Amino acid sequence: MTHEIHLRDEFGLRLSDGSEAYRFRVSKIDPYLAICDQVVLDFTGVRSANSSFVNALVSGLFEQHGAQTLGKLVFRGCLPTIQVLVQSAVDLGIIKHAERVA
Amino acid sequence: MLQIPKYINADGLIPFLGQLAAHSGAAELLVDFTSLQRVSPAGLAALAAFMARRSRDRLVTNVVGLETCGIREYLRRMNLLRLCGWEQGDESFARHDPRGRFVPLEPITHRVDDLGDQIAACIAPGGEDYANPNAGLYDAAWYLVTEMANNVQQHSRGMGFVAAQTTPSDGFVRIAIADCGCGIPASLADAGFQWARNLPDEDIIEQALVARVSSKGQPSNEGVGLTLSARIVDLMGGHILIASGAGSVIRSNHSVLKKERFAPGIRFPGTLVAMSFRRSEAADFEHKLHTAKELEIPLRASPNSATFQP
Repeated sequence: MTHEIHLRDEFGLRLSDGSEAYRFRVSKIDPYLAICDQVVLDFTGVRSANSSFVNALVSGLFEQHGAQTLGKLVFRGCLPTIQVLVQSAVDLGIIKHAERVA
Repeated sequence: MLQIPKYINADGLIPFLGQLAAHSGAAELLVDFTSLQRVSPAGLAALAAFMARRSRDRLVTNVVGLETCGIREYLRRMNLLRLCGWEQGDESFARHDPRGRFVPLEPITHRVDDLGDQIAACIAPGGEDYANPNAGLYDAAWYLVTEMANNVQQHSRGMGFVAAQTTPSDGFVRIAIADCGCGIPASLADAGFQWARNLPDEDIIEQALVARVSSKGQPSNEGVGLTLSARIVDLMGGHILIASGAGSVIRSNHSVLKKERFAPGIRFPGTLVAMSFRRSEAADFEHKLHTAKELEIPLRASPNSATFQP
């Protein structure tokens, strides 16, 4: 089963609030990672995002579940400026996960 | 007594912050506005944060000279008197349309994205429309304000304020954010960075401009908000000042650093970030943002590549 989340519909054109992203991740993404084969975070139509938002949304998923999340999570429709932040947040989360389990 | 100087802008800002720092712990303080003739958004934000901290700490502050202050009406329009509790009740003055000119002091109490939209719309009217000539400036203001406001909410543990100013023609945009929280040196020391306990505060601030130096906690943070913001301002040919604790750092002219330390024994309570850049330099903001990200967080040949779909 694939679960798709359209961030443009949830947050609008611009993604900025780190605290809001954290709450959304905990309540709307984490639960689906456990029960779905694939979760798609669709950034289509999002004009800009700051690092606070992307880190809060993405990094914690990998910090909690580790690199195995790579096989379940797909990022769709990212502008190049957003893609840089997403990959960076993935790396950060995996590093933090490794520190936790070490 | 805290004698507010005649000018709080440009070269007068750091000495003013030193004045605030020197009086931050006074149990009773008299603030005299008689001489004040000009104040930048950074001066306003710093003063509002200073007063918020004194109020939080239940320190007594009295004010004189407002009646004869030459820019009293400006201070009212910029919300300083109301936010500091020096004026209450219904407004008895006419507000000017702030769009394209200034952003009155705004407390960082509501949603960051709403705050970003509100301030960007003031600085770059119409820029929310992608095809508008102000779109680049709108995006730049939105990005810088939301990154800094997130830092205030997630790290400072104190009340924050933002103010801004611009001109309709190709003048400068000035954006300032100040908070009355724990400050960058204490925040990083609490996060477990040992070097933050040993270095002078101005060196700690400089380190905070390096990617991946950030207070920990949730939400997860990579410590690139301040780094990217400073680099973007750099790429726009502007300058950024960061004052926190006992030190300050100014970055301008493509990364030339000027570090200063306040007089021995005094600390600025909280953090002030003041940025300025030319309006026209923000026209290609998206390109500058991308360049800043490539410079500060280049995509590594990560063994953990995420899956991206068009």
